[in-house]
Amino acid sequence: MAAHEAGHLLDPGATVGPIDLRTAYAVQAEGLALRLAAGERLVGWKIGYTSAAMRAQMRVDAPNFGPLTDRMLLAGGEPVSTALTQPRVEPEILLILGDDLPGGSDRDRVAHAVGEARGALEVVDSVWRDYRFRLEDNTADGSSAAHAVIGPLLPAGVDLAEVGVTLIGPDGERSEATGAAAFGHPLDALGWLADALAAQGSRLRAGDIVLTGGLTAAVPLPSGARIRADFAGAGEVSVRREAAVPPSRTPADTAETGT
Amino acid sequence: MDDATRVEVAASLLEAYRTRQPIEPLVEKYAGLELDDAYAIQQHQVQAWLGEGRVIQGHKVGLTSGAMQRQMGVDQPDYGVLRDDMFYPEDAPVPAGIFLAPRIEPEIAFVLSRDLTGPGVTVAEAAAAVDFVLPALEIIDSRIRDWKITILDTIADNASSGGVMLGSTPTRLSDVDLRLAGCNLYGNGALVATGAGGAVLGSPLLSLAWLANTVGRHGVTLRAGHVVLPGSVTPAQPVRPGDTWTAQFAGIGSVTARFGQETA
Repeated sequence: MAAHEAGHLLDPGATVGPIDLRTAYAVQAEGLALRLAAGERLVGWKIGYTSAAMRAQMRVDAPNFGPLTDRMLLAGGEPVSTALTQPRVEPEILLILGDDLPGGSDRDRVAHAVGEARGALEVVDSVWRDYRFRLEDNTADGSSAAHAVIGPLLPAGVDLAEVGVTLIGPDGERSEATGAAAFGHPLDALGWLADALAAQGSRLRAGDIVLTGGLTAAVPLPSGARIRADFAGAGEVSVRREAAVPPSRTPADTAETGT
Repeated sequence: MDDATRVEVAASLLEAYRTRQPIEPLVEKYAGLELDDAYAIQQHQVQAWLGEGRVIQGHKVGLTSGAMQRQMGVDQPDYGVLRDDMFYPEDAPVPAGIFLAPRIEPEIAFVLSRDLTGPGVTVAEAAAAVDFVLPALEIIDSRIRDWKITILDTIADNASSGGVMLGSTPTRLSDVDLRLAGCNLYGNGALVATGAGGAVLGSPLLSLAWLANTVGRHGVTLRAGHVVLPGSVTPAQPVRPGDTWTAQFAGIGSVTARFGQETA
């Protein structure tokens, strides 16, 4: 947590060493406790590594989850926190629960617990240098969660597995995917989370916000850049990062350099 | 490259179809090969097919994704022709043994209601010429060993085309947003790749306009009733004998290709 606040990057080998997944979630819970003690409020969860593309990019072989707090939520178009060090952005389907959802729920019950579905962006920002980590390291770091950018409402009745999305990066580079990239179906990702939380004695509650997993590979968000996603039948959501150091040059400086 | 050499290269590619033995990359053997040569070699094969009684039923556009263009070091697509014998019905197994190294790509196929003659075709004219779209699976294949192709190799080899499977539910352009039409590609029941229409040059309609304008410069018209495969919405996936592949498109429907067990 101190490293995140100070904008420092760490190496897993030099800090936590080879921890197991249970310890990783315990470290994550300590991190959340510090956030709550600082006045943040738990508003939901993110699921990580639900797409084959993400697992291949990060070389991990299973999903994980991390907490979302109120301070992590952004509306479309807002800038990310200036404390972020190496942010990357992924398009996701965001679910807001209308009902509590216990573990062991079948697909129908999972579907009925969903109050609304939205297009969204997740901003991740790993404390681990260059995103070099194992699943356990990433889990300890809250699954790299930095921001959930809440985007447009998806049409009612749409099959979330078929929702098309295009992510448009800072240089105009595009990547396309569907909701199915999250665990085969965002509802199955949600069901997985309900089971995973139940295994830790916790549960999903009405009003919880769930980011169901990146649909394309994550795209780096450099200073001064913007990344947007366009969701079929819904529209766009974007996020930006302010320029690292605002230009301090005055007209006099410009004149002096003769340019 | 002189025309005798172009004919010789075309003959070696036609021989590779017959023997199912791939040939070495053309750019290694023919240092002087250029873009015009590659399309001329393709055209010599088209003439041979027409001479055998084959009919051209449309065109395919290739190298339409940013990833493919970067991989090939090019900034434009390429095209090939679709012969009548390249179309396989959805209800019968595709004889897997007739291909050399088949791969599969999900595509949104255009069927034209009227002729489209470039150059000068706008996206508006391209859209107006589309009768309907169909969900499609394209089988791509390479007569060049191990797919070791440059853009020149693939153009000479009819844009690495192999076969086409069309779904049977037509959708009007006005009923679907092609850019954001999601596609899930399943191999033997497992999700293998996802994408959306925008993976094709930003929009499949841009691919259709590009094709009309590019072939138009060579005096070729896209014909009413013809099929245009505008490019893949996901990376191509290798096919094995016995495979079943399904592409499910949001708002467009699905198409399935089953491959027979026999090997070459």
